[in-house]
Amino acid sequence: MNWKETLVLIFLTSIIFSTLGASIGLSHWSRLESSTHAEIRLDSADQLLKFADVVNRTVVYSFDVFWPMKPGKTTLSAYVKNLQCSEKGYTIEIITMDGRVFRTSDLGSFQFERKDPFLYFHVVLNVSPKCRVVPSKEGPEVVIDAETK
Amino acid sequence: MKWVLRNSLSDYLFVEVLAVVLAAVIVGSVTAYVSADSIYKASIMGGTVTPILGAPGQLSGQSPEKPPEYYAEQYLNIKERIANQFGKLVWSNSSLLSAVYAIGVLIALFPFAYRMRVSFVPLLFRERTGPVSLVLKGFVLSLGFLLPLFASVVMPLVMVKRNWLSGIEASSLLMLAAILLSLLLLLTVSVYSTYILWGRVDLALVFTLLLAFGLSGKLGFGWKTVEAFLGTFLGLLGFMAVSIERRWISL
Repeated sequence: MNWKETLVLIFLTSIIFSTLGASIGLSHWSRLESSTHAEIRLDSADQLLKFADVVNRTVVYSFDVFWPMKPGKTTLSAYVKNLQCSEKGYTIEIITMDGRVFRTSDLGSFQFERKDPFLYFHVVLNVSPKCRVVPSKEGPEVVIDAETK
Repeated sequence: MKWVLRNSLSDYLFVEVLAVVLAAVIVGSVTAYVSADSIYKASIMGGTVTPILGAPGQLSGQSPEKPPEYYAEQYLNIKERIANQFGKLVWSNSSLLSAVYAIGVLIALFPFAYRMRVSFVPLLFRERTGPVSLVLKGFVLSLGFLLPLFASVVMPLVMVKRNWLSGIEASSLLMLAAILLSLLLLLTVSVYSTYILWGRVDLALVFTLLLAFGLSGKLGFGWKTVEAFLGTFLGLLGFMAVSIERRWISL
């Protein structure tokens, strides 16, 4: 083996090893989770929902979600628990940070690509006056499942 | 130059290849570990984490809905904040990083330096000492040998920038890379200059570790750290130049 080949060997082997170490090590050693299940209570909206029918007004409730989470292709599904609606019920609007807006009126799931160590989106919940709160301990909740592949 | 390389890479070849690769793996994986841990902490500290049960939301009557652009801007702010935190958190492990880098530099350099006889002081086996020109050539060559080490320090940061934090300004990541590279440069010249002057690995390691701990413990996360490291690097170079010149006169 001549010395040029040797130098090339040293460079290539060590760069390959350190690239492998960096790419495997980063995802393996980081404690970022790859899935989250959350049940988010609509604290102050609870009382209002009870009277929405009487005053015939749509209740709009919105909040931001920020969770540390592994980057990658993310599947997000959302629905509302403890809320009973006749025909046109609630709509959930999820604004992801690449500017896209997802709308669902039932159990719906969306997929989008993320390149951050966190998940950040805005949720707007529109509840029509046709809906009625089911008596329960927690009251109405938005259930969100997020999973990264 | 060709002769030097051929001579030095003959019978200790595999030891030398192994040493550089091993050092690159050690340095790269420790940097990756620290980065992975820091990105987790940074992404918790960088934003307000929403609790799994119950979120502070608002009713539409309390404040009007904002357009999606507002959230996009918020998101970029959060990302920039996380990148800043990431740099600071990586540098908060400065003593671990400088110890590992010093040992990595020593592992990568020693077989080559020993084989090349770059020391002025033959303490180990009464072998012949190196002439001045060989010492200089050895120094330049060992900087080349350390290129894989430099690459493996930068690699985890590049990956974090590319796959985890793309689309930000990245000035803090640039500063972090500059700090780590100048630290590695300083440790290299420290190991090298002590080795050629004293001819002993243990003294070289002790001196380098003392220098690294003394400096990095005091220095914060900023461009001043790069200046301090580069200044010390130049000082050691000057010291090496003076000793080489004295050697030249005495020969």
